[in-house]
This record gives sequence, C-alpha cells and structure tokens, in this order.
Amino acid sequence: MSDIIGIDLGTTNSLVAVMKDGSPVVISPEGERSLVPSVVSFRSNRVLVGDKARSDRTENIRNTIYSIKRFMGRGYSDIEDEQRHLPFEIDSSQKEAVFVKARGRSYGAPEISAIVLRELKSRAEKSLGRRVQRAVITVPAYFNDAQRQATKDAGRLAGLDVLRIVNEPTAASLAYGLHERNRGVIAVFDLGGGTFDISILKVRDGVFEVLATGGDTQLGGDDIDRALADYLIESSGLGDAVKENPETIGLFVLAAENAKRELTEQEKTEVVVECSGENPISFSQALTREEMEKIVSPIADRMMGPCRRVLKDAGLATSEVDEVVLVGGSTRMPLIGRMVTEFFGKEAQSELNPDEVVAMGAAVQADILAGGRTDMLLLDVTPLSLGIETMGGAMGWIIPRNTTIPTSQREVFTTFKDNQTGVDIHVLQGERELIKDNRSLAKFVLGIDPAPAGMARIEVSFLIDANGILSVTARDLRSGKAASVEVQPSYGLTDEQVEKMLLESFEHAEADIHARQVLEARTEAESVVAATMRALRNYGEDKIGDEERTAIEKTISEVEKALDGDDHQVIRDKIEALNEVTHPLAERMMDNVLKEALANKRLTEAISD
Amino acid sequence: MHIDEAALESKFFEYSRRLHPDFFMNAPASKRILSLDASARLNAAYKTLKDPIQRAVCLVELESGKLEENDTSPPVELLENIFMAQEAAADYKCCESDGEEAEALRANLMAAKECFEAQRSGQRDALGALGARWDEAVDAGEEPPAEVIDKLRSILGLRNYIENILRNVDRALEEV
Repeated sequence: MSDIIGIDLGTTNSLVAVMKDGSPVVISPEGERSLVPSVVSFRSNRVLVGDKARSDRTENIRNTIYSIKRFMGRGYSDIEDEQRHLPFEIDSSQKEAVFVKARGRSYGAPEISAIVLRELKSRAEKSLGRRVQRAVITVPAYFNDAQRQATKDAGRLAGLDVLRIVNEPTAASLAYGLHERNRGVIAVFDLGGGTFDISILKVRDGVFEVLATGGDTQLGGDDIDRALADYLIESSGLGDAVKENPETIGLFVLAAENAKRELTEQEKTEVVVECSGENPISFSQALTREEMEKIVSPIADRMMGPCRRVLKDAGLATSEVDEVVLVGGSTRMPLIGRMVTEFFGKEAQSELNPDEVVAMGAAVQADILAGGRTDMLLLDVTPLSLGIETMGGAMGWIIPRNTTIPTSQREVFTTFKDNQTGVDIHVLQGERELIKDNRSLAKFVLGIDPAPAGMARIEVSFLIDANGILSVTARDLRSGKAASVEVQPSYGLTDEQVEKMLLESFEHAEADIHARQVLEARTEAESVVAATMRALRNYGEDKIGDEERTAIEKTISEVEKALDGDDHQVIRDKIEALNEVTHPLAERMMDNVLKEALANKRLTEAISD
Repeated sequence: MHIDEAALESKFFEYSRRLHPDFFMNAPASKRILSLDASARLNAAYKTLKDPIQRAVCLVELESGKLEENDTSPPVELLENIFMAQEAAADYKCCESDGEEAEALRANLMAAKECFEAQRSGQRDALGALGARWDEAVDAGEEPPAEVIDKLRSILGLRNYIENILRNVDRALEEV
C-alpha cells in the first residue's frame, strides 16, 4: 500500500505530515523548520520556495508571491481592491481566475500553490524514502465549491492525486480526538493567515459529527497586518508618492507582521522600516500591545458574527460547548485568546501546536482513507447553501448549509418552448435571497431532445461529495436515459487551462529537480538496459562467455530493481555498475565494428562515415 | 412519532461506518459510487428522523399523502399578523438612523417575533400531544385516528407560514 500524505496548504505557512507507527508526524527535514512559508520567489534563473523565498520579500519584492490562497477559486473583480496592499502584480487581463505576474509571465493561483505543494511532496518523499503520489489536502471549512476545486487543481498540477479535501477545523479535531480526551461538543476556533473558521462538532464513539460550520474566507492574520501597516504608513509622515508605492507598502506589511509577532510575546516593540534605493525610507516607531490591539480590534470583532451564527445553527448555547480548541497561528495573539474565552465562557485549549495540528489531522484522515484506521469517522457538512436561479433572479434553495455530506437532491426540469434543445441551470452558493448577492458556481446546460413545450422531464441530481464539491448529473425521465450536462464554471480554471499548465509546470521550480533527476536517470537506465539486452541477443555464445552473460544479466536485474525505487542516485550507481560489467563486451563490439570497417577502408574514411 | 434519539444516533453511526465513502477509497469505481449514493440517502434519512417536525411531516405524508402548500388556508388573523410583521421588518431594514425611531421599530419587530415564537411553541405542544395519541394507536396495532391525522395536517400546513415570517424577522434583525 502506498503512502498518503496529509497536507495543510496554508495562506502563510504550509506543512506535510505522515502517519508513523499509528501517530501523525509532521515532517521537518534535518536543520529545517516543519513550516514551509507559502511563498514563491521567481528569480531570473530559478524559483525559490519556502524560507528561501520568504527572505526574498525584501530583495526581490516584486517577483515574490505570497498569500496566494486568498485568490484561489476567485475572479479578478473579487480581489482588485487588494492590489494596493500587494507588492506583486495581478494580471488584469484574466477575469475568471486570478493570475499573478512575475518576471513577465502570468501564473494562475493554483500554479503557485502547486509549487508549494511540490516542495511538500518532495520533503515527504525524502523523509519516507519512497515516491508519494496520493494526498489529503485541507481547506478552510468555509471555502466554497470553486475554492475547493482550485485546491484540487493545484494538487493535480503538483503531480498529486488528491484523494480528499478536508476542512481544516475538522482535521484539527481529528488530531485532538487521537488524544482520546475529547468527548461531547467541541468548538474549533481556527484563525489562520488569511481565513477564519468556526466549527461545532459532536464527538462520540470515534465518530466526529460536524453540527455546523461558519467563517469568513477573507479574514485572517493578513488583515491584521494590513490594518497595522496602514496605520504605520499613515503615521510615518512619508510623502504621498512613497506611501502609494507597492514596495513601500510591501515593506510596511512585512514590518507590521513582525511587530504583531513580537507583541504576542512582549508588551512593546520598535517598528523599523529601512530602505535605500529609489525611495529611501528610514522609519522607526515604538508600538505597544495595547495600541496594536486598539488598531486591530475592528477586525477581531468581525469574528463574533460567525461564532454566534454557528451556535444558532447547531442549536446550542455557549454553555453546552464542552471544549474550545484553538487552531492556526493567529490564535496566539493574546487579544484573540481573550475574545474566545470571553465568548465561550471557558478557557480555550491549545496543547497541540496550533500551527501543526491541521496537518496532523490531515495525516489521520489519510490513514482512514488508506484503510489503516477504521475506528474513526468524520462526518462533515457543506458550509454554504446551494441553490439555483429562479424567476426574477431569486435564489431557489436546493441544499441548505450545514447539511451532512455526501448529500444529494433531485429536481425535475422541463421546457417552456416547443423544440427547445437545452435548459440552462445556474447554480449558486450563498445565504442571500437574491442570486446577485450569492456566489455563482457554474452554469449547467442540459441537452434535451426536441419536444413540445412542457413535455420534457429531466431529473437533475445535485450531489455534494465528501470533499464538499458539487457534481451534477441528469436523466431524461421519459426515456430513462442519461441526459447530457455541459458545465461552464463561473470562476477558476477550465480543464483545458489545467492541462496546459500541467505541461508547462515541468520546466520550472526547484521542487521539480528531484522528479526530473529521477526521470532522467530512469530514461537513461532504460535505454542502457535495452541496448545491453539487444547486444546479448545479437551476440552468440562464441562472443560472450557463460560467466560474462550471467554477470551482465544479474546486473540488469539490479538496475531494474533500482527502477522500482525513487532514488536517482541508486539508479545512477546501478547504471554505472552495468556499464562496468559490459565494458569488455562493448570493447569487443567496438573492435569488431572497427575491424569490419577497416577491412575495406582506410582509417580516415571509416571515421568520417 | 416519538423516537429514542440516542438509539437513532447510534444506528446512524453504525450505518455510516458501513457505508461512508471513506471506507471505499480502494474499492472499484462501481462500489465507490454505490457508497456515495447510499451515504447521501442515509444522511437524508437521519436528518428527517432527527427533527421532530420533519419526522412528523414524513409520517403524516406516508399515511395520508403529500402536504401541499394550499392544503391549509391560514386564519385571517394569522395572515394579518404576518402582513404587519413583514411591514415592520421592511421598515426596520430601510431605517437608516440609529436614533429613537430605529429603537422603536426594533422594539416593534421584537414584539412580533415573540408573538410568533409563542405560536410556534404552542404548535410544538399540540404536535407533541397529537403525536402521543398517534403512537398510542400504532402501539395498540391500530391505524392512527383520522381526527389526529387531520389536526396534524392542519398544524403542519400552517407551520411554514410561521417559520417563514420568523426567518424574515430574524434576517431583518441580523442585517441591521
């Protein structure tokens, strides 16, 4: 059975975990952190990922992409306003999906995520000593269909078969569940770099049943940094031109992030922004925790609405929540901890590292999917209501939010005109009454055989699978045959775009090097083995002795064995061994060729042949 | 009509363990699809049975046919109250000032909400009593009495009106 890895693909940091001896273990290569910053830097000659890329946020600021998760499954118009805070450029020519620009090339959000995923995959492979192809990837519980789909696309672009998309707070609860301490009702408060989730679960007999989930996919530590950066820029006294400069803003956001982190541990800090170059800046200001909390409290307040709503949806009072668990790096802020304690009326737990607990839970879910664990089961819900456009632009509800998944619902459609050959179904997600206020997922075009108006009866099944991803199938009720459904996603990449990116992706990224080395070693090994076999076939016993033949065959089988593994060095070593053992044979072959050639020609003629 | 909720949950978990797609990841595609479909149906069944109202609707419909929207014509008084509450909700949503006017509108809306909530809880009690009579008959091996079925149909028919207006009032209170 091959390994399935668990990946927490975060806004700020990403991690990979695997199961070892029944426990989830977060992978950290020797001398490195387990956290891989979700940052990709495009240098002129190579691509850097993680910590190496993060340090480029000052040097190579315009070509260093971070927080790409905020753009997954979204369109240009959704994020246009964010450009101001970003030192890198968004490609305004792409409308249905967000593309970022670096060194003159455009990259779709899933392509950037794929570079981070490939780094995680290669870390896991190095640690396990085996190739890894299958993964469980976590997403914020409040991610919509398009955002989940984009995450799956990223996995595919990274050469991973994504077996399951799991919600981050639910994954965290699985990791906590392994500790056997949690019984009853748990609230998971998950504040990451870019997203906020609150989930209420009921745990009994190893079944983790999500009762309700809520959140905001555009609310996280990043927003705190930006609010703080705006405040600092405002009080810097810098000229307007410098203030609006993307590099200036980028540097202040970075300084704000550092100050926030320092003020988690200490009461006051000194914010310093130094920059030589075209627009020199020399800024320094003292900042206390109290001041910072005042600046960011409007952002923290935005978390309370979802908390109230999720309890209402679960039909519970705060007193009925047995335990509150903190997940995500941003929950380390004392302000957040205080707010949670105040809201739920009890001390929150964070005994598992809030940065690592999601990846650990993903590894547990991977283990369940691999068949390694049968005592635990996760029953999750769909975070947003699903509906279709009805007359007058109103939302016709099909599947309400917080319905346990998988779930399916059938609706029957008919035609309004004679000989109508198609019916458009516009599917949306969201809680508002009017479709214009909700998120368009896709338009489905039903193929219908021509018939008088109202005669057609097409039953459409909307199925939300265990990943929270929608699929639509249709059946002609009169003929009983399947009807065609053509999907036009409203946001995100088309299948063709993903295919194209898949082809292009192999040319890039440091993370690819290992894969490429293995691929190259394999190709070489295969051609060497093929040539040797041909030689063994073509040269009779008179030219190859039994002993030599046996030695060569043995080495060939060793090469083939190395090909089963994933270590290009081992493959290379075996190629070398085969070259050595076949060297005398090759020499003789060469001699023969030479003799034959020279028999009729002079040396110069033979060589120039 | 009555159900042992703990037993229902245990059964749901037991079937989930047998049917959930998580346990069929390595199975052939045909089995995976079957598992997906079966869990979706299981989840729907659990949801229906868990909620006393949905459970009652389901049993009544099995016994005496589907509840249609125009089955029950609501009493004039209820319609009037709904109409007034709807107006109050709309006024409150449009009102932009934070002053006394808004306070008054909010108080008005809260009063309407309380009134409908009282009606809803009255309905629940009535459903409970009717449910007990239903169970009594069924336990004795008899058909549920026609009078009980009729009353249940009437209450369940009105229920949607009250739920809808409560939802609208809540939305107005939340939005502002």
